Amino acid sequence: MEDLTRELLLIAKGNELAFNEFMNRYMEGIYYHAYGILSNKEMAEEVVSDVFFEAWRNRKMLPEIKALKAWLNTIAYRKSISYLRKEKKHDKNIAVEEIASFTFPETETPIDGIINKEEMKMLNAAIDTLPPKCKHVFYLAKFEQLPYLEIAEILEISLATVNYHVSTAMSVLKKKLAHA
Amino acid sequence: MEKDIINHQYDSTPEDLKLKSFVENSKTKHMDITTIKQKTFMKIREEQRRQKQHRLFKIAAIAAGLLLVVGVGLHFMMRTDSISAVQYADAEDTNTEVMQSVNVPVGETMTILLADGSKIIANSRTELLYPKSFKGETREVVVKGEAYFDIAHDESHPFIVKTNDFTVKVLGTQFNVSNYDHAASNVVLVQGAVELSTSNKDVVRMKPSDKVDISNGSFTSKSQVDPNDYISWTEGVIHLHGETIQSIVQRLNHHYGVQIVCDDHGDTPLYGKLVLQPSVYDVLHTINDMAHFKMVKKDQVIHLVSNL
Repeated sequence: MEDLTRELLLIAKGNELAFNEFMNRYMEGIYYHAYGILSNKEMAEEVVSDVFFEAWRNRKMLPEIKALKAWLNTIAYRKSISYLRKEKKHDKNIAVEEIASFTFPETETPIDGIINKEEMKMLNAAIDTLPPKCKHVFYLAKFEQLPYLEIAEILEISLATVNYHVSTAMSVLKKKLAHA
Repeated sequence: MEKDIINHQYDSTPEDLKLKSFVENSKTKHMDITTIKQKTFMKIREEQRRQKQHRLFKIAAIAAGLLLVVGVGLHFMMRTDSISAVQYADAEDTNTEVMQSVNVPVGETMTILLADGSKIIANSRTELLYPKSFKGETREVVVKGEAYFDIAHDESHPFIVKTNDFTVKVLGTQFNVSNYDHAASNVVLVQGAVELSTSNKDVVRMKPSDKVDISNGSFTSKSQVDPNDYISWTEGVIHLHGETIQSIVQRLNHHYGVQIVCDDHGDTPLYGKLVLQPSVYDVLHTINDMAHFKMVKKDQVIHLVSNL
């Protein structure tokens, strides 16, 4: 924690090596979030570099931000949505009120040996069948390990809705595992 | 209601054990993040370039204003202050080096990676001139302010740091140059060997941990120091081992481009660590906690006076 504070102070002073470390720390989580919304590698890369560029431009205030991961994910979410809107501009009939789909990242089988490859495949397939918002919330809860309150703030939904989506995902997966 | 997924209550059934393993231990596939990092740094460079152009434009505007008012005076100014006039080599000619210039904003530091793999960290308010790529027999950069150099070894192309008052010639090494004030400049060698020559033709060979002081283009003294004390600014701190408030105030004046005058207690020694925060006032408050004085601001000058 002390290290992170020091790193942020260095970044605030314009230290690019420290910023490089900062990117290492948060990059993957932010990338899979953007990829989930955009379902396109190049677009996601563009958005994520925009997110970190935004962080660099705001480097002086970084040490004061309390929930950094949530802050980065909020920017990633908003930039991804506006990217989608821009892409769809030529087709004005489509309103991107709600994200039409969310691509959940493919997960590797954990090394603890408790679930096998077959079960892993089945879980990934089961997640695919969940509604987009549910996958989106579940991604932020599971991979980014964000507190539900922060997820609610990022997606501008209620805390109860976040709880509902996570428990839906959990019970679907549990049922699949029980019947396997 | 749950607060987060980490505190989820699992049953002890086999399916719940598996679910727990999935939620807590399955990771996403590792990805190559270098492309995104490169993209980000390109955006950062692009912005720095734009800001520099903006700054040059402002300087040009001020210069144009001066030209109207002072006329001939400008010619004299440009001649005496050779570093502030940025010179661009002709980009068409592939044999000349295209020079780049950097002005570090107040309170910030900037890391510059050179074409030969050398690294320079420039301190607050430092002006640095360096070529985009090295083409001649020697690798030359110009510095005014303070910078830490970590130079890639290349015996056939000596690296030369130029200032108004002295030059440092190296083959590959780490050292710090401070010349904010040409009456009190210094060079501290961390590793390797360098040769320093002043504009008044003094030549000094330096060993690791040597500190050489230069005043108005003349060598004044050489001493052994702990190099870490002289490069800790690259990490945003100053280590204090009994330096007087007077001498620290001097460093802060250079770093933040302010004018602080110590009216009382100038020789009080300070111990500990000073974090170079974005605002000089925060730093002064820290010193205040150690030394108890009062800050009085008068016509852009900050006076430190006795609290008693």
